[in-house]
Amino acid sequence: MRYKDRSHLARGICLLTMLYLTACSSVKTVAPYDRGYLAEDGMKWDEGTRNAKLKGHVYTSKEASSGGAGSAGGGCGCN
Amino acid sequence: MTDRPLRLEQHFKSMGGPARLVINAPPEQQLDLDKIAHLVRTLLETLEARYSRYQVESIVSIINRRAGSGVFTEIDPETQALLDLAGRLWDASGGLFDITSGPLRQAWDFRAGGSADPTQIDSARLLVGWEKIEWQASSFHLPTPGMEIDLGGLAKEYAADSAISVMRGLKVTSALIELAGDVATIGDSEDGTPWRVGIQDPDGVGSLCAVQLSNAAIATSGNYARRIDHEGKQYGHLINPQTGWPVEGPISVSVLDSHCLTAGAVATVACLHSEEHAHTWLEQAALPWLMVSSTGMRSGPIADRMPAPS
Amino acid sequence: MAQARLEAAVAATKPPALTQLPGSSPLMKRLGARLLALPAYQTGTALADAPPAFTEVGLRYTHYSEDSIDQDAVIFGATDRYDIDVTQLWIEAPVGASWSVALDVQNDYQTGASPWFVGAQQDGEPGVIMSGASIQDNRVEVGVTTRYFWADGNAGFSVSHSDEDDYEATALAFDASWNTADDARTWSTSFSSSRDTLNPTQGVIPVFITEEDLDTQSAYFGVSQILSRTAIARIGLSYTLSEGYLSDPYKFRDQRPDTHERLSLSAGYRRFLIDSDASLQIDYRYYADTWGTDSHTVELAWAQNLPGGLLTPYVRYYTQREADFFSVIADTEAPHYADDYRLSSYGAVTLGARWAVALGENWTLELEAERYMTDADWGVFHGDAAPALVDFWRGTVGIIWRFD
Repeated sequence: MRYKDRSHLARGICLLTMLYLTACSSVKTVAPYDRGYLAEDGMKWDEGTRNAKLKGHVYTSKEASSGGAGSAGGGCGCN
Repeated sequence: MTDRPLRLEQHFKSMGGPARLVINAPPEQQLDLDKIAHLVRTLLETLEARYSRYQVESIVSIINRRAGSGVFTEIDPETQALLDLAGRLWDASGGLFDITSGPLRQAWDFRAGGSADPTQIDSARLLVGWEKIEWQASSFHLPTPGMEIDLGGLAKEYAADSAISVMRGLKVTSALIELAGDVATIGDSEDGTPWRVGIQDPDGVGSLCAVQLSNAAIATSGNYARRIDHEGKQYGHLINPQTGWPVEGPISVSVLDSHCLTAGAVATVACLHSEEHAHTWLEQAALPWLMVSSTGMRSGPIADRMPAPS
Repeated sequence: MAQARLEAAVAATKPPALTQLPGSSPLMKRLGARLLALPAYQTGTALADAPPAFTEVGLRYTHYSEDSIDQDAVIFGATDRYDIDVTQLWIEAPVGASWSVALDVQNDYQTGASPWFVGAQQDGEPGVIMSGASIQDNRVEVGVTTRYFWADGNAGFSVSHSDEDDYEATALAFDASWNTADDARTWSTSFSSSRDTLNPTQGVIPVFITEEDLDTQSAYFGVSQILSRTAIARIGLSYTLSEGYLSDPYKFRDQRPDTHERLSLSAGYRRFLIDSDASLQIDYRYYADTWGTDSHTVELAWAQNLPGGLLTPYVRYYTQREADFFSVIADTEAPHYADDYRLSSYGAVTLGARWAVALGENWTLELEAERYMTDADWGVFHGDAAPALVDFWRGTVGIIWRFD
């Protein structure tokens, strides 16, 4: 599944799209006042902008991969 | 440890009327229902102390005592939000809903059941009008001695919503709070089906019908509770602040919404309108409603869902 | 199950079908506008778009420490690797009813040595020649972010500048997220652009360049969806293009292509478990680039509400395939070559935990520690083991103060 092998990548995107459409079509509306649990601290996508930035920074500078959740940022000489 | 679901039901008096609190919890959640009920009742007492015009230390009493004195009263964000809603309702109802209409009510003196003296009504009208109030940011003042505000109706429904909010914060997944006929709920009842809540029948003591609520609230406003006779004609206790006379509107209106306060506000304004205008108002609010007209006819989306009377 | 339902029936008759409560009419929105300021009417706070209600000042200190390299793997040089002390200071404040502004300052102080190149030891095994004496470097980054909030979304713009002895970087970023009409779905996107300039210092390591540039553009697009009152999921796609000097000037045998395209697909899931009073967090990322590297990252976390705060233990697994031009001992005959362990095939496991505890109404204390471990045999991709894989410890302590 290398990047150069674009058909694999296309298949991956297709799979995610299908997953998304399946998930969303079976979703029931949750009323705004019934979203208390979704607002819990443990339900956040990241543990705060600064912590996420620092962690991303550490991993990006020690691994070949980058990007993913949220912005890809960029701009530091952190090798 | 028992495996039976925990259940608590308490009846008490609060916000000037009968109150009922029901909480259910699965045993594994290990909620202390007595403690939760105690917190809810403490909250209700706090709100009553803050907004009742019968308690001399309430913010409402302080504002009313200072009417015409030139002394502004500092109001907190909660009171500001309630007064803001009162102002928006006054605006949206074309002045029919007015929390300053107390002097008119006294002129009619419903408690004595007597009739009103037209000169009294005229002088009372001078003390009524939301447009007269002086309000800048967090400072509030009534400009004329004798003017007064009454947040009773809104505060009662706000108290129901606050109780629900507090219980949600304590992870309660099934609860019902009823304050003088207005009901707010969390989740479903103990058997997993929606809460069944009766709407009071204006003609009798029984239930007009039952609605089923799940994470929703219902509020009823009516002209049936206290009625007066005047020159052979029956009037409700709600007064049109612009004419100074009791309104000849619907007998009762019930409205369903996610929160009790908004449901109650819509229902109260509907009762101040003529039946025809009440219809238009309710359509605008686009919430489920039930209206009982002066002839006893029921209408609205909730009524339409009931089988025809046999 | 717990959605608002309306049903009316004369008592004791068969209940008719269930209907949902309608959405807010313009009249109801107008009436309730101010009520949203009251706690009783704020249930979806994490989903509502409004500037922060408080000014926040935060200070975090992080110590990052790499394990010494195994003496057996070193041909020449010190065995100590990097230690980094990171200090983050920020202030974020609401401005008016719909804006917020944040100022971030970060200082990194780095000491230690890093692999210079890989050669063959007497027994034929590859070994690392470390950069000689310990380097010392200080990096300062300053960033400003302004954010605008409207009823259904928010958008931010940020500028940041990073400066150190040998490296300078300036970045611009724009991001936006907006909710659909029923607020159940949130779309988000971001774009960033950066210009980096390298001026390698001529020190103990001979360096063969004087000044080089690197331009990077990046875009992200994602969507999150509320699945139920306790579950939410999201997926996203990001693309990054870098052009310019991409080699490592402090490595002896490092010649990389001058373009690098990177693509990553990410998916996340959050589920609140009412009985446990905890959230399950699952994240996955697939990454692939034009250098022939691809990788899988899986992260699992359990955020437990406790009387003492929120405790979140987590585990992360990472595995990558080596770059096309990577070899354990660089092949300098090839057009592109590198012996950097970061481009090799390996697997890595992180074990960590963070703890956030509220101290009174206005203060929050945050503690976090993690251990990162690598091994060539933990990967799922084939490739020769690089001799200098890194293991590290990281510890963070932070304090946040919020006030009106």
